[in-house]
Amino acid sequence: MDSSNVLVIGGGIAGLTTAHELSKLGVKVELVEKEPFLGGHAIQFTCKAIESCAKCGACMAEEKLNNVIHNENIKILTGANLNRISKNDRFHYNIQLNPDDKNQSKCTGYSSSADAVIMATGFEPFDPVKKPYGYRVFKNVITNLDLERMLKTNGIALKPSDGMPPSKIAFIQCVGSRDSKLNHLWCSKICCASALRMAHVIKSRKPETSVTFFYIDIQGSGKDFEALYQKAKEDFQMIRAIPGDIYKTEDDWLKINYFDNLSKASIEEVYDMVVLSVAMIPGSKTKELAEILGIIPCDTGFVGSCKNNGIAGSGGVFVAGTAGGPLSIAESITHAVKTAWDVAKYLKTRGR
Amino acid sequence: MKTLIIGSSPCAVNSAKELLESGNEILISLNKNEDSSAIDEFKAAGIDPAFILTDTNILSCRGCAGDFTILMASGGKTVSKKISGVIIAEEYEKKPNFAAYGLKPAPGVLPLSFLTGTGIYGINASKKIPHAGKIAFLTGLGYESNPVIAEEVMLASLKFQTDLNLQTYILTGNLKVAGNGLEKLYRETKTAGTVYFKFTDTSPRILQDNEGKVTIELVDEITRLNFRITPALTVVDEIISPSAYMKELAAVFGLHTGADGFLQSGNLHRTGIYTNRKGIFVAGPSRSILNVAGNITDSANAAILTSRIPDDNIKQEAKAEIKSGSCIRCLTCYRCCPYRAIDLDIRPSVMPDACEGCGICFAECPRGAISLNFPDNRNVADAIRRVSDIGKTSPLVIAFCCGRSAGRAKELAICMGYRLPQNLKVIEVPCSGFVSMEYVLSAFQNNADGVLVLTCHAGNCHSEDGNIFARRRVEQLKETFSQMNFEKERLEIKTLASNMGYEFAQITNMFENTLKVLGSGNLKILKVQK
Ligand SMILES: Cc1cc2nc3c(=O)[nH]c(=O)nc-3n(C[C@H](O)[C@H](O)[C@H](O)COP(=O)(O)OP(=O)(O)OC[C@H]3O[C@@H](n4cnc5c(N)ncnc54)[C@H](O)[C@@H]3O)c2cc1C
Ligand code: SF4
Ligand code: SF4
Repeated sequence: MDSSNVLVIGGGIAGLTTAHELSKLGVKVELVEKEPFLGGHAIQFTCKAIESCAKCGACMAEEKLNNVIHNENIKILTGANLNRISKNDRFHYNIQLNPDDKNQSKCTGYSSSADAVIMATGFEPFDPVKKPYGYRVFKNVITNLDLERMLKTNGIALKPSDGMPPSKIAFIQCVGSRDSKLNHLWCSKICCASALRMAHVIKSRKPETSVTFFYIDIQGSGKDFEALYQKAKEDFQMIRAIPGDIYKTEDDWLKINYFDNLSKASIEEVYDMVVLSVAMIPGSKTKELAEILGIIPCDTGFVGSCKNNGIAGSGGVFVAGTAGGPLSIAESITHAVKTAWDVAKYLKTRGR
Repeated sequence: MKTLIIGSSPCAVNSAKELLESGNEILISLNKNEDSSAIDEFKAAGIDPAFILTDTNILSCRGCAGDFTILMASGGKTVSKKISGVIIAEEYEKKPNFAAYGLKPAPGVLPLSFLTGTGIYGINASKKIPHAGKIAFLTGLGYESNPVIAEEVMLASLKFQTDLNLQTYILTGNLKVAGNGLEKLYRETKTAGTVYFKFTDTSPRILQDNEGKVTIELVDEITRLNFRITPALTVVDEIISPSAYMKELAAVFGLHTGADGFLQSGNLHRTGIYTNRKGIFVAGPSRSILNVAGNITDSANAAILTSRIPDDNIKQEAKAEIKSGSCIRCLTCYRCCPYRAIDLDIRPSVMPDACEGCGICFAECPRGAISLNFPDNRNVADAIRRVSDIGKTSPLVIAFCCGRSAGRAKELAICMGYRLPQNLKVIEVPCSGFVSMEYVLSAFQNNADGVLVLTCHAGNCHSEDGNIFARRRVEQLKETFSQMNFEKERLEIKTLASNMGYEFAQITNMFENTLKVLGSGNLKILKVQK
């Protein structure tokens, strides 16, 4: 399989992993990433260890990244966009390198070809502006992704309004997940454990912080999870309800309104910071790209294995990672390794 | 190049198929508990039973990836096989949760796999399934279930509702829908008429009379109304756990197991199907609870990784070597090597292909009989000596950093522009388990005002326990320091992950401040007893 080329679109955990696995089989890989950096979402995450590793998987991104840089079988193009691709036995494509990439003074193009294409374009976080929670209206309403970045740069949570640590935080789960009104009939799988871990980190560094969770069902399983969840039930207020609107009080707190089953009454409670655990949704350009490549997305909008979409490498197009549906980092990795295996088999059938 | 596959799970069958189809050699080993249906599974996948050894137990495994010698008891005989890699894909056990719900098996009380295993319309099942009355499923009550069981419950309930027109109830705590298509399935069951009772602050009262009939009294937490259900059939979910044979295999292969007993420790460096031993992989039901797609994914992972042994793209790491003259055969190295890289013959020796160069054995050997040879002649002792050559303006901090975590965190800290102590000298080591007491003392002797050992977080050491060894040594030294009236605050051990640039800066700066308060320090001792 010496010189066959594979194009990997997307340099997140999944793209990096497939590229690395294929490179080990001697396959030449080109990896295009639209952002100026590699690692996708996971590279922006914070470590959630408190003395012991919390098994969040975030540091795997660093490791995967180190595997592909300086790899002679992998050509990396960051700040690059695929702007044309067509198939005539092989795939022929054109890549545009962005001028803001530090090595590039102006837009340049680049043409190449490949035997197989891997869509590793990942997910997008749901934009909670569509929900009545005041995101981008109230400064202290942030998303779980914002909190990841905040913890990564500051070590503790800080209110965007005044840069002070919050004293009372509410996490709202399933924002944009498990939502029939939005036709988002999926669970994003990772947000429960991820938010619980971040809350534990915040509480361990500032024990006086009070934390409340609003949820439908807490997801996660396994022994490590049982311990994590048990501690959450001890340390946090866990409320099985999805809040209505959020309002701002006169003294700049956030008022959350929810229906309490126990007292059968509507209850109002105030917090000084609210974290929205937003859904993983299909990338806005996923559909378009899938169509160009000749594959049909599922009704969820992801391009994973669902009935009747006929992907499975037919015609040389493959999917790796969360482009196919919500996955954790660990799952994205095994999924991407499997994709590498499928691609290798495909190349063999083509005598490459 | 021959791969040994242990087990007859769908994941094992699929791994065998993938490997054969891609032109690799295989051998399948089934233990005595497997019946002929196991062989049928392989046959159905087009695999020649000639590849299968039945009634076989693994006795021992020597050697390293690409060159294992595996001894097995097969049908009363002992056989030895040359194997390049191993895939363990033994099926897990399912035990019905009767006791947890205070129930006894009865005609109207069945375990979940009775429905799913024999098929809900299987000949066996159809005889026992009632044709009238209500069906209650008990799942994830008082413990946290998982998406695989949740899917089985929801599929069964959907069948009852739609095909048999029976009213179903699902009684649960947190409904685990974190799997592909499960939220959709959940909606489908609700549309079909399944009623869910989810319990958070109350629990149902489950009663069973002498004839085995079940009555359930509960509060619907949404409406706070009381209900009483007398189901014609009560289906009880199952607890999934590793099998006894899996535990045996862990011992034979020297694999670290997780808190749940499966054949993988929770260590992130084993993400996927890796174990602490190169060339030995653990897939599907032997490592986790996975759905059908997850098991197929694992078998593809197993196929790609075993067909590539020996992995020629592994970068050349440091290798340990035992100087035979000094070795007193105490077997400390054998016990502490996390990768099982020490071969025991007349005397212990290091198998270079299995050694990952962590250096734990080097630091632990009581005779100093082990050296760690770096491909680039890097020498930590020299690095420590070189550090002392600088003029002092602020406290000299020598930080031993694990190359996988703290070393990367330092780079990130620099990249993010955080201020680091002026006189911070970083010495990167392959694993903090390599930092011997001698190294720490030699750092002090070379004028360090303070020494930091920066390791991975507990549970995230690539060498499993390297950080624990390091901590033990540091604590012992601190103890000695205080007996000698030397400030023990000058030595600290802290944990970091590779992505903790901010914390790297924070820890080193705080340490520098401590040293500034303590003033200049001087430790001149030569040897400390181990
Ligand atoms: C808030 C939050 C917290 C999380 N926490 C955890 C956690 O604690 N543990 C865990 O296991 N998982 C967690 N996850 C899930 C984790 O983020 C994913 O599993 C992982 O990032 C998936 O990797 P990926 O490569 O599939 O996708 P991505 O990370 O989305 O990477 C895709 C890459 O493709 C690029 N790309 C997209 N389109 C194109 C294009 N057309 N051309 C070129 N490049 C393109 C993108 O720029 C991106 O770099 C979390 C997710 C969220 C949202
Ligand atoms: S897995 Fe997560 S918690 Fe554990 S060390 Fe890595 S980043 Fe930290
Ligand atoms: S250096 Fe580590 S891996 Fe190598 S033999 Fe010693 S303990 Fe084992």
